[in-house]
Amino acid sequence: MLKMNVITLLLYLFVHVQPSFSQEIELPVDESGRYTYHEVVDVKNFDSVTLLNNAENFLKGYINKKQKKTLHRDDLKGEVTAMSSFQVFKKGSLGKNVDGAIEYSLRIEVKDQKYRYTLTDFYFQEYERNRYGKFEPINGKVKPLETPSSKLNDWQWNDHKKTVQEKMTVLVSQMKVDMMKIKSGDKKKVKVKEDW
Amino acid sequence: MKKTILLLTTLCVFAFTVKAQDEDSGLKISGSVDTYYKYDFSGEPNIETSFANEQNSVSIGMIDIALEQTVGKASFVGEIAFGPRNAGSAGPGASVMEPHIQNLYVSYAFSDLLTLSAGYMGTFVGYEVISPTGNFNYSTSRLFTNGPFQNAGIKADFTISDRFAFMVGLFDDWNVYQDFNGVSDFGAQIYVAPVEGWDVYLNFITGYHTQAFYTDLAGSVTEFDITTGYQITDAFYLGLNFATASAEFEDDSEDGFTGLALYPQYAISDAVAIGLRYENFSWKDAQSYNSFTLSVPISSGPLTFIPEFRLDTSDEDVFEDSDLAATGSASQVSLAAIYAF
Repeated sequence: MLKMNVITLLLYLFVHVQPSFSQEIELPVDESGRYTYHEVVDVKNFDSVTLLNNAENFLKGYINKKQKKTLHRDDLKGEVTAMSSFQVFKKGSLGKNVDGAIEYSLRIEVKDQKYRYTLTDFYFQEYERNRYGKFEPINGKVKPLETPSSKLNDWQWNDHKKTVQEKMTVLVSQMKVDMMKIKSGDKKKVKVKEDW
Repeated sequence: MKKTILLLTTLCVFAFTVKAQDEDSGLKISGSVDTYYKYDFSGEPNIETSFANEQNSVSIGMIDIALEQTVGKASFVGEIAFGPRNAGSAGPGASVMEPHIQNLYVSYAFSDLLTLSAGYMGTFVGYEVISPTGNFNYSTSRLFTNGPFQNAGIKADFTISDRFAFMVGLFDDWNVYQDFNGVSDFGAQIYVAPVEGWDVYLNFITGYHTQAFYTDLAGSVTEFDITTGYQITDAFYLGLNFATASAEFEDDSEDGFTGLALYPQYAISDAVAIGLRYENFSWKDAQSYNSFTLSVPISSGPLTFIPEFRLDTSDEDVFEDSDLAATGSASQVSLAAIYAF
């Protein structure tokens, strides 16, 4: 009986005495309650075709080889879309051990003199170490990033949201640079060598 | 000065150019430590499975350390363990204090389609694994205990799509670093994912062993295994393992087993789950067992507690009660603590 009481006490302490490790990360939310990064950016002297080309070039350079098949350009709608992902790691692990991957969608819509981006549909794909010692995705273990975490695992979940916040901030900065990379009317300059 | 600024700027741009997926090619270090307390209600360590058999004692499992690195198309895994759980996986007579290799192999991905691996690898057969971080229950099934733990050899993995893959390989005898009768096992695996969240593995291994079926007799051993798991809803998962194995020894005797295990599991939250393992296991022309294991893993990041209750019954009186009399059933409780790093 004493043994059972000790086991019960240990479990009670584990569940109820948990320190708070990190500050809650607040990500921007759209009207449907999904985490969404969204902004309209004014760019003078850029026509829609140039902006669409820049958007496509940016996404081509940003997403990796396997994600290239998700890249779609729609000239009629004036938008480029793609799916992307990045790995997130176990907090406190000795090496950078993968806890999962954050998958999300990117959309850049263009008009003359402006564009808007939407980064949304954030999902967490869980990973585990397999029997061969390698980390791999678990088939079917995918959940929206908005899913609330339990008190016991809040610190790890919050760390993933912090990573999303950092990654999206860098992504948006890079996008804003690349969207202005080639200006309207820029012509490809050819250097003519005299000694040919 | 201008050159220095230009160089620094170039380096900064190079360093901060973002890419979608951070493919980390650094050396990964992972592993686990585990400890447990077990109490069999008869007062005797009745239910003998591979590990965690010590009665009324706060005992240790093992420390497991794995190194892994992938650079380009080449990769390696080196995993070593110490402790009683490790010794249990090394077979009869293994010392608790001796280290044992869990994985030691190199791989080369010739293309997205074909990867070749050679070395000593965790077995592709079966549902449960040696590492306590890879199992839902802490105690192990008889199907696990009596199948292979590791297979040294060379294998070719063909990934046709996300939904279909297969493997063929040539292997040593089960669980040995060196095969004294030559590479004599043939193994194959077919992987199918009929729908999202459902994995099906059909496994087959056959060969001639100098110590067949964990005996001192030589003979040929064949095992066929189905391992499958379906994440039916976000919370509910169902796993299944079926295996049948046979051995024909040199002295013309035979042995074998057949078993089925079901693993229904329900995630109450991302920290707490509850799951039952039901196993029916029969030796050829000998006793059979029914086993029920109820586990409730509670996790906080790297630490998991697994309180567990297990009841085993047999058609023969193979267990002992508290008066040391032969009986047909045994039950135990255990509490395991597992830290994964």
